[in-house]
Amino acid sequence: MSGATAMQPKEHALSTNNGSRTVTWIQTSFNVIQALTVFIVMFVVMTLLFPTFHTYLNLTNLLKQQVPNLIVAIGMTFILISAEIDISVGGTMVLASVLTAKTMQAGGIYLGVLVGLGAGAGAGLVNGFLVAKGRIPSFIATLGMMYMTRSIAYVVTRGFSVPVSTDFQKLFAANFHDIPYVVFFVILLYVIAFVILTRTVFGKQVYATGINIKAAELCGVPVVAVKMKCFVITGVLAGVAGIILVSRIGAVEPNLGTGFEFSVISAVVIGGTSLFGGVGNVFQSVLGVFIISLIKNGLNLGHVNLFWQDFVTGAVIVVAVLIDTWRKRIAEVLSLG
Amino acid sequence: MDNEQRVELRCLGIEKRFPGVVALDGIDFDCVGGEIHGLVGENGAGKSTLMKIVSGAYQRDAGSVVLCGKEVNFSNTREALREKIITLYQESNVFEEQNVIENIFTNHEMRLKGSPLTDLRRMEGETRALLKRYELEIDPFQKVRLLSMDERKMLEVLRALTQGSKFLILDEPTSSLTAAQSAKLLNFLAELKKQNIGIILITHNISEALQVCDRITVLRDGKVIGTLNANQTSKDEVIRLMIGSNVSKAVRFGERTLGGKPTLEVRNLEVTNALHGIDLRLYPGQILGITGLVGSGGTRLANALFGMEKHASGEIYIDGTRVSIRNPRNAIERGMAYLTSDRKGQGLFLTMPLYENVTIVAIRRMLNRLGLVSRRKQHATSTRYVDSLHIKTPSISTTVEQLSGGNQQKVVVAKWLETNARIILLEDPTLGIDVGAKTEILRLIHALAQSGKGVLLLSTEIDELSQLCDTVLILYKGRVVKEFQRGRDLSEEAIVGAATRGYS
Repeated sequence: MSGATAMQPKEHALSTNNGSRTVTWIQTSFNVIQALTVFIVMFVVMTLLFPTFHTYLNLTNLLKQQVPNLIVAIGMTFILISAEIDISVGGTMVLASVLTAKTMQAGGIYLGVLVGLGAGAGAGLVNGFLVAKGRIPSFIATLGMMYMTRSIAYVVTRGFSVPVSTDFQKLFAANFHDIPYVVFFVILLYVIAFVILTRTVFGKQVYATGINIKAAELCGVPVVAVKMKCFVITGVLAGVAGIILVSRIGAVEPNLGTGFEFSVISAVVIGGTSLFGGVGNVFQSVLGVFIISLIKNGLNLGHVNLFWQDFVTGAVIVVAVLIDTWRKRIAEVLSLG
Repeated sequence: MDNEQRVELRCLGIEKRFPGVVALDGIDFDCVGGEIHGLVGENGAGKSTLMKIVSGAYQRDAGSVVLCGKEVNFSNTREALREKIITLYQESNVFEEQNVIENIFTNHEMRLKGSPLTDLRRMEGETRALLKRYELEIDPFQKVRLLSMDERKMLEVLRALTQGSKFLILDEPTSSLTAAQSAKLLNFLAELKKQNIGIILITHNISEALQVCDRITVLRDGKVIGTLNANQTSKDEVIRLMIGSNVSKAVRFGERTLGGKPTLEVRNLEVTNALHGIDLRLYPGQILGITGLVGSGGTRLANALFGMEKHASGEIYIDGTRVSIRNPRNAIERGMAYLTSDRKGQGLFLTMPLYENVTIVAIRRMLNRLGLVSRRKQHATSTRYVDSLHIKTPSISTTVEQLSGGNQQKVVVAKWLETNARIILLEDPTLGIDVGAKTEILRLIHALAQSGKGVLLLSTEIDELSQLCDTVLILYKGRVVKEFQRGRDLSEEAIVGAATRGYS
């Protein structure tokens, strides 16, 4: 028996078993279907319940408010897929916006933007270094960074509000039929992120690292570099979000965006990206961000006591994580039925 | 002994089936108080399965277990524990940060009379008495972290004693011990059996079994081949019974032509506390087998070669050039592939589709002109391997967790073939793969070598080694102690003989 004959096909091993193919499809698409269904149902219900919901003003307002969340959710998706977490994004965003505003007062718009981006990249780099190189659990490392970034923001501003020039406020104000140009920039970011995650070597390595870090290492994936990059990407995006936030509000205070990190993480998880790594994509995160904003908007329009709003958000997060944890079994049950 | 209650454990006609395999086929086995009964056999002979049934971890399909005259049906290990049947597994089960006393009395602490509080003084006294009786020089307040491996094992035995153990099952207790430590532990066991305790010793080391056991039972393919009195048998006889005359069922692979220059050469490789002065040469077309007792260093060698573990000194040459391999990426760039025995834990991305698994290492070959990963190329590549390796899968998009063990292994093979690796490190490639698929995997390995790749086969399956290898090296405590050549002295008996004896 020669090597050549041993390696030659005897039969076509690929069978066209449609049943199993459906199972596979349902399993891989389950998260998308889940998030999309929730989003559509909520949209329809709210349209029926609240006459003011379906107004152009309400919808564009919703969109504008979600710009920072949408931007940072991209980075958070990368990080969760690589099986880490970053709870410093709120702090990084505020630090970037404070430094941007401060620098602009003295050095002009461009320098300000540059400093904001630099602050984001720096925070991401420290996070990445602590987690990937220092092997500190990411929850703890970024918890530390959350305090440190917020602290610097207070030190720099001494707790006061920092205004920016009206020129810079035009950045966010510029719009097309009341949709800020920034929104189109966000869409572009999403397209780029989608291509990176699904079609580049780095993207494949992010998934591989998140699914099985040991196997990834053995396959030659530079897992330390992959994790570093995810944190830096997230840091830079938090910086971008911070800069846009300044432009929108016109002035920043260091206590801005409290709880921002958790609203981003919950949005990404509700979108169907797994907290355990390896599963998810950026477009699901868009759905997650909007699902959370619809919940809040619905509670507002329905005049639900403000104090109950966090309760509802909390409950939704718990349910989403529960589904994430039980996802495999649910997919199996669905595919059998 | 006759006037005491007779301590006796008897297994009659035990049967156990797993999907596709009969693991135990009518086993009769017994052990009485005051004896050490050795249980030997090749991998997969059924030793561990039998003991798991005795200790309640598995349930038998047929037969009966009789303990001191009455039949017992353990539905879990706790019930066996209640009848004082205690199993010590290969890995030490101690609490490193606690002291000796706390370890001995874990979960059966002595209490102050009529109180929920523990009686430290009584436990200390008991511990001191035990240590004295068995002449162990251990401080009762020593943290177990500081104890050596043999002392830890003895500590586990002492824990079993204070639990009132009647039967003690030891699974490969000496596998991680040095020769001196093994001797100490075996002496301790010989002393212990005088307490009218029945000791069942599962071991690969036949010399050891002959030295310490009263009787030895040999298992092969789920059957008892014989129960021998240790002082009336010899090592050769035990090995002959273990292997049997199953040469007929073995597939014989044809000759391969070896390349002239070694593709991989290792000189004087040293890994701290693991490998000492390893020299080896691997030629293109060669299958070089490496085997030994558990813990003799095979895995550490593969790890060191693949850059997962630092080596203290020594040189590695690939195609005549000295290379430095600091991480798996370096190794892959140099043309190496490593298929670990832990297929699911280290070889596969279980929730990823087959085509992503196959193309993950050679992902840079899947790029299109824009530098993006081309799904079309991924699909074409995977389809090619599904065809050529006969991978049975509903589609190339199926997640690999849904495939059988044999097909999963083929996916791992495909993944490395796509990198054009020339040096392939294989570790127990047929572990957990059913018999039918096993032959197919062996054929595949033969074909790999035939196509000019150098294969380093680390295996504990002796039949596999004797069928495939041109050369087999025996490792013992991190050293190459023996070398067998095909056509000269390579045979199953020779390998088992060399791998199962102690060296000093």
